[in-house]
Amino acid sequence: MNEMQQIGKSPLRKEGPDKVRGSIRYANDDHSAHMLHGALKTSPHAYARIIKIDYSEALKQPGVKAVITGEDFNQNLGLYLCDKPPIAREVVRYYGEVVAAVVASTYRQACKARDLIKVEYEVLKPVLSPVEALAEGAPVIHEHMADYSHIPPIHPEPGTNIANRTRIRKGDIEVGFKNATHIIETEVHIPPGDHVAMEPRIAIAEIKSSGDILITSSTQAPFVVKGLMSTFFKIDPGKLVVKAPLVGGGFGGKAGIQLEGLAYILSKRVGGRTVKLVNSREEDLVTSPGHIGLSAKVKMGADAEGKLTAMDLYYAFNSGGYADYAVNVSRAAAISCTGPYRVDNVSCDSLCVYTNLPFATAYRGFGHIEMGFAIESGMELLAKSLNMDPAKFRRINAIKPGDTTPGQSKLNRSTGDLETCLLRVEALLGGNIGEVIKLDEYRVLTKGISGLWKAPAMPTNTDAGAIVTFNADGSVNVHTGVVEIGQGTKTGLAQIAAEMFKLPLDKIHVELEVNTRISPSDWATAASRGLMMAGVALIEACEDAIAQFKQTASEVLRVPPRDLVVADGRVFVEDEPEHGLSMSQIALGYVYPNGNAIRGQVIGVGKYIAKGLTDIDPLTGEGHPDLEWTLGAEGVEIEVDLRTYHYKINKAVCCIDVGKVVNPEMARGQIIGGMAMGIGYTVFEGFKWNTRGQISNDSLRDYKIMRMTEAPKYEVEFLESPQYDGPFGARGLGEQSVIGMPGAIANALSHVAGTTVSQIPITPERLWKKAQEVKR
Amino acid sequence: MIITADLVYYKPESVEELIQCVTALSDKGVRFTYYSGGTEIVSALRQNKLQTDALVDIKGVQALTDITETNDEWVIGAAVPLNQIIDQMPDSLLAKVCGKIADRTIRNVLTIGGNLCGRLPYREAVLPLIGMDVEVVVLREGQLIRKKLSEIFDKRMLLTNNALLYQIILPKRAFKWNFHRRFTESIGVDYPTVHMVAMATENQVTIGLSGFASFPVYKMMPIDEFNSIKHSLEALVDGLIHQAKTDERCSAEYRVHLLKTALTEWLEVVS
Repeated sequence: MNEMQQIGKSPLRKEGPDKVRGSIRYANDDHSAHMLHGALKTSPHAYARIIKIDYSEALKQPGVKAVITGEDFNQNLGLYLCDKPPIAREVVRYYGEVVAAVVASTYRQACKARDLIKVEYEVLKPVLSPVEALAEGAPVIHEHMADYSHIPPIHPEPGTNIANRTRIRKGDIEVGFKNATHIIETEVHIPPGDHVAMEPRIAIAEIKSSGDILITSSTQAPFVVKGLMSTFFKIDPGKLVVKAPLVGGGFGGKAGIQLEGLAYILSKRVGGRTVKLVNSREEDLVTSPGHIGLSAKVKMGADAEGKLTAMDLYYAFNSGGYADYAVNVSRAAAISCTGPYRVDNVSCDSLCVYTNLPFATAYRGFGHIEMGFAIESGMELLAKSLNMDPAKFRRINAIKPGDTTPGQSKLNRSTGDLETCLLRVEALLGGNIGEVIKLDEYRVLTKGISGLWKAPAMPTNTDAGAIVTFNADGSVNVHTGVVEIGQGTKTGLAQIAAEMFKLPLDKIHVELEVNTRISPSDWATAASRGLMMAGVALIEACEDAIAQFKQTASEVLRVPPRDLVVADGRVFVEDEPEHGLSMSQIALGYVYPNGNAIRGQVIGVGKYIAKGLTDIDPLTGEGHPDLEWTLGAEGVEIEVDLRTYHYKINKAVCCIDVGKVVNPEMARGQIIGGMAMGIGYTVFEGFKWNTRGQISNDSLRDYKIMRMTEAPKYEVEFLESPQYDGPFGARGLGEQSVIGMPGAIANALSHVAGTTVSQIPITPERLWKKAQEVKR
Repeated sequence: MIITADLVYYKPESVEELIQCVTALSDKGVRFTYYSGGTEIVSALRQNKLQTDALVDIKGVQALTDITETNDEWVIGAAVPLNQIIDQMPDSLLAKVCGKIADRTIRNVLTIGGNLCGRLPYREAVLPLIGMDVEVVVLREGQLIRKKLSEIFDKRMLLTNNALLYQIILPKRAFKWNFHRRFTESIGVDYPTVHMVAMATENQVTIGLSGFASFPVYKMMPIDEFNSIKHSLEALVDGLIHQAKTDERCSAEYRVHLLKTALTEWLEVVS
């Protein structure tokens, strides 16, 4: 096999120069005089009945065109379970929920009018944790759950606060625990929090007289928006055009339907005029969805050799006031519930539970970061109980090709090498995992390790497409439905096309924006499958185009297509390279010297649809919903000051098996970005609320995310066990590095505290309190 | 969210203009707010937490943005950004305390007057100033008046009738020892859970705490008294402990622990 020219190299991003010079136009960067602006009135209460909304004063304000409340729209929207009105109707279910919206000529006018809307509430006692929500006699937050439509894989339980229950029953845990010589039980708790993407959400909606509906949105999923809006608003899908320009960070928070539906309703109300709806930072944190929380109980058993025999798992995910993606998050966590370990006997009940907190959507890791924390805490305790090195314990239980997942899906030969990942992480940390090393009178050093895995949690018919067209000089235009959210997929796709045509990268022009009327369909830019699926589709499109080039050249050169090669901008006979044509002569139709033109322009088409996926059995979880698994390991080295338990993460390391590294620098950037996000998630972030459920850290003064000064030294290694059905052997890697961080950090710190650290975020105070408990 | 209040913005370019402006606004009964760095004001206006009709930007008056040095003292204008103090007077305790507030970028905008007179309860810059028993200049009703800071600061600045903190006079004085330790909940760039500043002149020891209680608190004692109790942590924290607060960042119990940790560290330095 020839050495690859583009794959495995690290060219600069296609959109890089414009990004760093500030000349990218994001969705909110275009202003026009004819645009109207929306402002949102939100609830100051976590749980309350809406008694009355008086917006008479607001309507009188200059520039105001309309005010809308929940009374004006009698329908729920939802991705999988239709539980959410775009504007609260009769009851508010979380602090920050939208109760009214104003449309005015300027944003300032809309906000001024919004401040004059008077809302009367009957405040109710909020439910603030999954434990509370599941307790006997808890208020039922969604009284009409029985009426909510939902997709078949979701199983809501009306009359309770359970929006979905997913069951895994594999083997027999009674037998498993009987065969165990060591059994541990532990629990963990994670609050809901937010993505804090740099770009707040925005949606612009316009209804043309022709009936076309134009939506521009900072979305990761323009085709999801198109599909859902078509279904819920009963719009002909051909009339909906959703545009996704470059997005300033999504992390899953922009992968569903957000402000688009509301912007459409507002536009409709003002006769189809363009309405722009932009979140303030506070609204982006709290009103728009964040990430899910979790209260989990794990029980694990191992035999005398240290082999896992059983896991009994209970996951109560904290979905907040509405379920959005959360019902799938809890399901995904069940499908992966054991972490990347071989366990023959598994019982898991994974619940998606309503509470009166800000609601949850997809987040990087999609339930795996939360589940991972629970499992890795359990693994650490079990290793301790066995008196076994934590790294070794994970290695001997690492899942391998031929083993089955909790859903009894067999791992094929496209499975990563977890054992080696764990060995590498251990080596990068310098060994001694679990030992607390004294540095001086007050400071100690500790290390922690974790395993991680994830498969995309997506519909069984998830698809992607690619179209390649050409320019007069033979250069290539690439069209896919993947959104550029900062993950660099557009550049990765360009590298794939460059490799296929054997052209330099600057001859590949990737369309950066997505337009659902023009771009091929693509499920969503989420779940770490963008490069994998669109990449495979693109390879097919390139092969299609190459075949067309060869067909034309074959006619003109009078040689069979099989003797031709496409490379370096030419189509030529392999053993007589001088005998050939340039791609530019063929790309837009070949013209003979006498003027006759043949064959027309080359258009290459490729598609991808997930193969062989099924839903899972509602009682046992058995099935094959998992397309491909990415496995890896992570570790941290932390310095702790024993006087106050303030700590600093010195080093964060990751070894991950990605199949093929398409762009090493960008891949490294993705992994480090995920580690940074995971550190923030574990150490600094998470919503805080009072007894009334009101979020107290709903601004960036108080909601702290990681800064450069807190950054550890990062070390990243890649393994390349091929993904046989991936583009050039690559598999997904966008999310995975966030998943192992809570486990690694908590495990390291638990060695210092002397007991399991089970609550996130792990503040110095929490650590100190744990240590005090042990001392007593 | 956007600032929806209809505000009028004034920026006088001299003390005389400042006095005229303020007098005119008072005479007309217009509510106004002095605007220095502005970070707090902007946040408060965004959230509709500040009711005001006009902003009087004081950064156009040279005396308010200058640091003047003589043989014996520094005269610091109230609108001087914290970075200017840090860069011009790097060895001073004030500079070291200010250097812990927020981060370098924000400190380009944060001013010493804003830190002392703002609504946030931390007011960390006051800790070394009270310990040094500094004097300040206040502009009230057209007059520049020199006063002890301790006369107009108790938990917060007590400036009435549109009086404006004008300058801070920092004596160039050597300390017997000074010490400061700042803790936050987690990330370094955050409000303090406990910020302790301890200093001693020839006669007096002052322990000042910001973030510990709902406002800055002090314990002052003659140096002899300090020497007699310095081996007893309990005696040192007596009078302070009961003021520890619990909030979203930190519990009272942990605050007390942090205080004891800081004191212990300081005492090791002292002995």
